[in-house]
Amino acid sequence: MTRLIYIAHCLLGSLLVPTTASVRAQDSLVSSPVLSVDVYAEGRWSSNAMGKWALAGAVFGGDISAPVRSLTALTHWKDGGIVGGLGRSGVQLVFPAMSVFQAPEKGRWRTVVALETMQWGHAQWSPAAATLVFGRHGIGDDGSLRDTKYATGSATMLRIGGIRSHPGTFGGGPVEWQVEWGVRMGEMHRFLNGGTHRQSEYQWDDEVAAITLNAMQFRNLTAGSALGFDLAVGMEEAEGGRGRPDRLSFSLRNFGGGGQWLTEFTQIDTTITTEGWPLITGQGPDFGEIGADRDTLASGFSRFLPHTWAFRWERDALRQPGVTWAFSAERLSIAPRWECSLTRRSGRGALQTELGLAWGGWGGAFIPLNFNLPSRAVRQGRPGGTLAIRTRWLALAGTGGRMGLGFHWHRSF
Amino acid sequence: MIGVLLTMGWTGCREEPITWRTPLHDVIFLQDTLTWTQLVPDTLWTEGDEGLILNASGRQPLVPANDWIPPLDTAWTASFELPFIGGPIPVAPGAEIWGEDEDINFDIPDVDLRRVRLGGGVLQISAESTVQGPLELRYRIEGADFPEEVNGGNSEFIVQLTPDAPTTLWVPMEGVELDLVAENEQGWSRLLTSWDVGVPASAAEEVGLFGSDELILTVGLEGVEVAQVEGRFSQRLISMGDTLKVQDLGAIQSVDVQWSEIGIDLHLINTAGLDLLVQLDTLQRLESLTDGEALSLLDPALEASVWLPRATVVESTGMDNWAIAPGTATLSLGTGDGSLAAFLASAPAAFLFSGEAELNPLGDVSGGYDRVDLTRLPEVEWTVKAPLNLGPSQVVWVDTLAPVLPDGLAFDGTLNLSFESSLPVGALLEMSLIELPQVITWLHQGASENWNALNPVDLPPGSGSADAPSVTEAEWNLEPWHFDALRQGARLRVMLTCNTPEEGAQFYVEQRVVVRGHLEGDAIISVE
Repeated sequence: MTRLIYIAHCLLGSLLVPTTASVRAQDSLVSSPVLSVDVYAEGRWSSNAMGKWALAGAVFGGDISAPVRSLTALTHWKDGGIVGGLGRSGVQLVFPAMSVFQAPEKGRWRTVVALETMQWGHAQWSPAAATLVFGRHGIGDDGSLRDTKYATGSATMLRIGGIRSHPGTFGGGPVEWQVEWGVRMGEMHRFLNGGTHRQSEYQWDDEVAAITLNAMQFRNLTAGSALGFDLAVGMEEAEGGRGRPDRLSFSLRNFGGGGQWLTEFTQIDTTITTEGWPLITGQGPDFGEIGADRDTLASGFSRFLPHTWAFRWERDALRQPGVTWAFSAERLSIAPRWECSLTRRSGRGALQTELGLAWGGWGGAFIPLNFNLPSRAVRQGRPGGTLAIRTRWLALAGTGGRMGLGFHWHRSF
Repeated sequence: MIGVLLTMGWTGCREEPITWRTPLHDVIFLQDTLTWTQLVPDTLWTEGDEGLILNASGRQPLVPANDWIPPLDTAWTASFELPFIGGPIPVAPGAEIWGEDEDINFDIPDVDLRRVRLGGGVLQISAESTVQGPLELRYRIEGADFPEEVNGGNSEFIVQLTPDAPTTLWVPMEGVELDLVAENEQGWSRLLTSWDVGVPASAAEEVGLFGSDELILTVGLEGVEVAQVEGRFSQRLISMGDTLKVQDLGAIQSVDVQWSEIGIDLHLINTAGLDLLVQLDTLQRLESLTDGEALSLLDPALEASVWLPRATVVESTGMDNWAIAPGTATLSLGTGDGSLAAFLASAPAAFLFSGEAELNPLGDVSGGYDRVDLTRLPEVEWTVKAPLNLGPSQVVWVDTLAPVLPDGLAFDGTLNLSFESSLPVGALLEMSLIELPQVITWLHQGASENWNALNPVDLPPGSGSADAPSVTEAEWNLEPWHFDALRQGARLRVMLTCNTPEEGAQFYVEQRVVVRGHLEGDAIISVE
């Protein structure tokens, strides 16, 4: 059962680690129709410039002057700002293998059925773009709005797959191999993508106010289909390994795309220049000139799903029962950098903690802090339920914002 | 689930807009140049050694077209019968049944026409017969020269008549030249026509006539417009009078000017080939085109007769290509004692003139060859010239600004103003918000009197050269309600009062006041 949960972790993401080393599977004499159930929901975002109060202000309203001053300063410091986030929720059921195939001599099959909905969004902006929106004007900058773009999307997909596990050897020692595959099918509900072209720029100083804006946006008007694939390979040293069992896994998750929408294409290409509002004529700059040309594209577009490459290595500590060290590296396709973390999980009691240090994604360093709350049955090595709470916190002040919150309930039978 | 919560938060939990302050440091907000040429179009100004000169002008016909030649529309209808009883009497193809000559006399008092060229109108010929057989109407206009595109240039029109059914023919008369002199010069202003109705020569058989058969014929000239005339215009008086609208001077209405010198020239242009003796009785100014009071000009030049010689009109290739060398005369006002300075203390909305013109005061000196092109009638061209040497009265420029402010933008800080003046005189500049929304006025009840204004700024005299202006700076604390007021329709008024010295001052085109405003503070941006 541990292996199943381990693979599930690989497929469901780094925040969703519902297991502890103490949960050891015990074959039942009476086979249950459902081997395990996972219910989860998580959200996380990070930025190298935007703090949590700016995001909170955007959500709840109010005066966000102080956070946006910090945002502008950090954007200039880091020569550009990025922000991104992902939210997922769903349910996964693991069933015994269907009896239509002959059971393997060694190892076994499991069937996985899951339903997941996800939302994602990310944006990046130039230092001048931050200044244009948040100031401070008149101090001089290049005024370039290059590399300012954004994208959001959402999808709901049904995943069907299987888990194959069988024993083997690796490096002269016994290991347990696990292979999981899955096919995702569903619908991409929404996709919005836009940005400015390189020559977009502005100038607003003591002589003139001018902007050259060349931007475009794609927005779907109808829903589109989506198709993706999952693949995960894991290896666990069996029989206690060399006293500190290692577990390695590699996974590719959500690889695929979707779309073919009826798409609205919007383009703005305008230049406005004013030396101030003329006093005599009363003719001010006509902001209505910023007219957008809209067109509907029947042929539609397709986009990749935000897929993930992940690698994870876990090792139980020597002479410290219940302590596990883990290194993980994950690359989300819509994020600019790999996200790497080193964590230490400890405890065998009712509350087990996991604490570490991580870096990457849309932001810099952060602290993952997770809690596992296994039931008594699980702690005693029997099937039961485990609630996992996953959070992430900013590691260094003044380096943007990080926030993550996830809940995962796992029940084995 | 988290995404759902975020979405709910985004759409439902936000009870107030997102706002933030964007620091602005010395960024441009206002800039403009106040000059004389912005008050009055450049075309009305000339500049010479004497400085700036107002030079406004306009043109108007001296006498309306209908006072020269009245409308020539005419029409007649007659019924014709046969001089026998019974029938049928067979009539062979080609034989005439009815026919007459018609002499149309255009009776115009004091005018004898020799030739006319028509600029429009139609000739209508309508006939109805009870004869049970094919008939043909032939209508001829003697001395008519039709253009090629009308009936192939032929002056005889043939109409096929259908039994018991009216038949009508419309002939366009534009471009038709008519010779209105009868044979042997027995009479002028006479149009000779003739017609006949008979059996077409091409008829296959004879047509039987009964004594009871009749013909009803109607001929008319409708909507006739005379373009050119040649003839004899007898000596007579024509009343003149019209309104001369003064355009493009609306912006100078607020200027209280004491002109050191001013003059009105009435340039009379005679494009008619006859002599005129013109007398202008009254010239009045109107404050408004609708209901303004009229103020009469007192000037000795009025009521004096002006001889306006005839134009030389030469015909080479037809009446429509007359070459006209107009005769001209000028009536200058303001050269002697009179009230012209007070009459033009400010620009009027219009002038109203009235008088008389005597035609051919020397009689028929052309021998009946007076030529008048009614499409190019005699005109009066008025010109007002005034060197802009201003007296001690204060010149006040008042103008308003209606800035277009985007929604969601407010400002809290100062508007740093700088004024560059190259006027040769000092000036007082006042800026204020006007036409404020009622709610803002209500909120400032009890505030100081000039709560909506910048403290007046004294601009020192400039050097008179635009290259070395005097510079004055001022600061206006702008608060969020200022932007709110402008967004809700309030306007920014700028009033510049020139402190002209007692001895007056002389202005030039390049002299101006440049106003610049820079923002220093926080822009407050709101997003719903």
